[in-house]
Amino acid sequence: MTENKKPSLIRQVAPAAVLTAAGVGFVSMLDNPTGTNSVSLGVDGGVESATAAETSAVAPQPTLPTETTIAPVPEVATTLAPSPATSVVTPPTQAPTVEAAGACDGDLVTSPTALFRWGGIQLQVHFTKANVICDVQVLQYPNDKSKSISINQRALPVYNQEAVAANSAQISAMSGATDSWEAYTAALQAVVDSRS
Amino acid sequence: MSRPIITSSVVANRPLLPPAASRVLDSDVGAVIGALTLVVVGLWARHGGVSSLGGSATDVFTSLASLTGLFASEAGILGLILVTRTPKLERRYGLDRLFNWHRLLGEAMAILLVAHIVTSVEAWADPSGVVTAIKDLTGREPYMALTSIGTVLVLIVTVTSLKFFRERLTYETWWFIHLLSYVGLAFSFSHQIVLGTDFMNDTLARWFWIALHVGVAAWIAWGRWGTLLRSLLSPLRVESVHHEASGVVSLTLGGSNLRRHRAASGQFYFLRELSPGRWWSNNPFSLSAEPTTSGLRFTIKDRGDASRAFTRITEGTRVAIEGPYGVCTPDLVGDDRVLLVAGGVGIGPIVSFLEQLSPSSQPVVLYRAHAHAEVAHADELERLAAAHGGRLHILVGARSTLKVPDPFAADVLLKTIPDLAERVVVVAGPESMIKAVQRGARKAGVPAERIHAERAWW
Repeated sequence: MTENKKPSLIRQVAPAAVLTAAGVGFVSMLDNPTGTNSVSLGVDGGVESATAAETSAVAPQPTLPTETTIAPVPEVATTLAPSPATSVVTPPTQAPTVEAAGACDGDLVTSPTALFRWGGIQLQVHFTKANVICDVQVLQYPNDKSKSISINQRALPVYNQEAVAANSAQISAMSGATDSWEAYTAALQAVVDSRS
Repeated sequence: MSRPIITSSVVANRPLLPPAASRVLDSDVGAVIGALTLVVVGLWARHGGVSSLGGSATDVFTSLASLTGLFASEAGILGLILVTRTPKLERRYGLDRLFNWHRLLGEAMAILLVAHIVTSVEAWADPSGVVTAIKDLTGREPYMALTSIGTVLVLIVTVTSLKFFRERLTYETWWFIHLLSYVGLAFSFSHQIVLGTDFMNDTLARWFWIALHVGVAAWIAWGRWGTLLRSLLSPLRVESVHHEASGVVSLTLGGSNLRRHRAASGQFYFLRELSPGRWWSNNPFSLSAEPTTSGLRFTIKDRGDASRAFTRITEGTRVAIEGPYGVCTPDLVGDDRVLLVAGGVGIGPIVSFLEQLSPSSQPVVLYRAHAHAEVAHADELERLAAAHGGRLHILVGARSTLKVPDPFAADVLLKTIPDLAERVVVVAGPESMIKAVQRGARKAGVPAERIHAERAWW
């Protein structure tokens, strides 16, 4: 139906102004990962030595990878952990509750790099004296593509927590991060196997 | 329409009040579309969409895949809002225009969807190749099997809505296929939340997106099911059936609940015959008389489809009505002089128009019909035109038998109606005739905003 009089300028502009302001406000509240390298999962960053950690070396076991269930052949070079451990550096997305699993006063073990089609995942697993997994750090994950980064940044901290909670590599896959799950559990299983 | 409003309930018969005007402005609609677009582009940019464009080929494809996906969703959401039949939007723009925009947005969505699929496959193709990427995206990735089915459904709906296929399907078949789009959209929603880089990492964005979709779904449910429920709860009855011409009948629907009903000439309703085997069919028909408390009259031609059942309806049958819809009403004319053009059963809305015109309108009525036997309401037209100081021209016969090749060419119109340029033009009938009249009237000097068309609903 036709309008009898022209609506006022304020009536015409106000909804647009309010909605635009709301939209801008909303967008500014969104997460803004500022690029590919700013958030790390513990690959680099301030490395402090964990005094309690007694860095032990896993003896390289060439037969190890064949026992893992990784579909793509994982690279078997079981690297030794460098002396300054990274377990003190907690990635921002990682919940601090992992520390509650018990005193991390045991071995610090570095996993082999599990290679899969997007890259490689390498873990550093911290055990208590009682040989219970108390912390897991990701040393390396595929970070050459923004898609890989966003998937792994979401999934890996959860896998870390689940690994501590399960004290094993029997953790459930997260939807959208199945490939990472396969590589992660393979790497973790390699560490667990090396200590049994 | 400066008629006295009689409120006394003693008076049995009075014209219905016209529906309240909508206060929605073009700028309001623009503001909503603009803000949604701002948020969608903002989501994409904040999550690294812009910076990825400077990265590797895979980053560029990932970024474009998320942008095209977001835009496809936005087109889908806006398209759905248009078919909620929200009265405020309908009163402002008219259902036929909303349907038309809905169709355009549907086509835009299909194009964006194809772009989204191509860019997603390219983004996934690194490093394992296109074949692996297609396998991943049709099943291996979570929810993608569901999404693939959804995508196929949405594309089927879009293709069957193309003019070529639409003309070859009955309204009912097309409508049932069309319902699949709801399933398709619901199916593909899951992958946006789980795989979409914009939503799986950002809780606020995810909840916004979920709320937006749930809100639109609720809006549709309220608008469509609410209307359906109301129409079923207060049906009208067929009070009289008149044979008007060959294959043309008029029905008058009445009921006590018309007393509080509001409608104007030129509007249309969806009618649903409440009888076994017919209740699920819902078809649009235009008013063919001024709506009054004593009844709504519809003139219906048997076109061999769902309209046939209505031409055979019997007195006393209950009919559920949804409406009124349509913005082509006599208040468009005001106190101006008017040219009314009707084609075939489009005469219905023109008769109702005539009844509500002001005495100064001096209407000229052009009535185009295929055969003399199909001319309906001729006596009524003659009487109404004369009462308003106007005249009636009935033009009968196939186009090849006419004296002029185009009866609505500007020079032909001007010869019959010398003051055409000062008149408001209202045309109701088939699409081809509407186009011909618009062309002729424009050429004869009628400004476009004074030419009003109503698709023939019957």
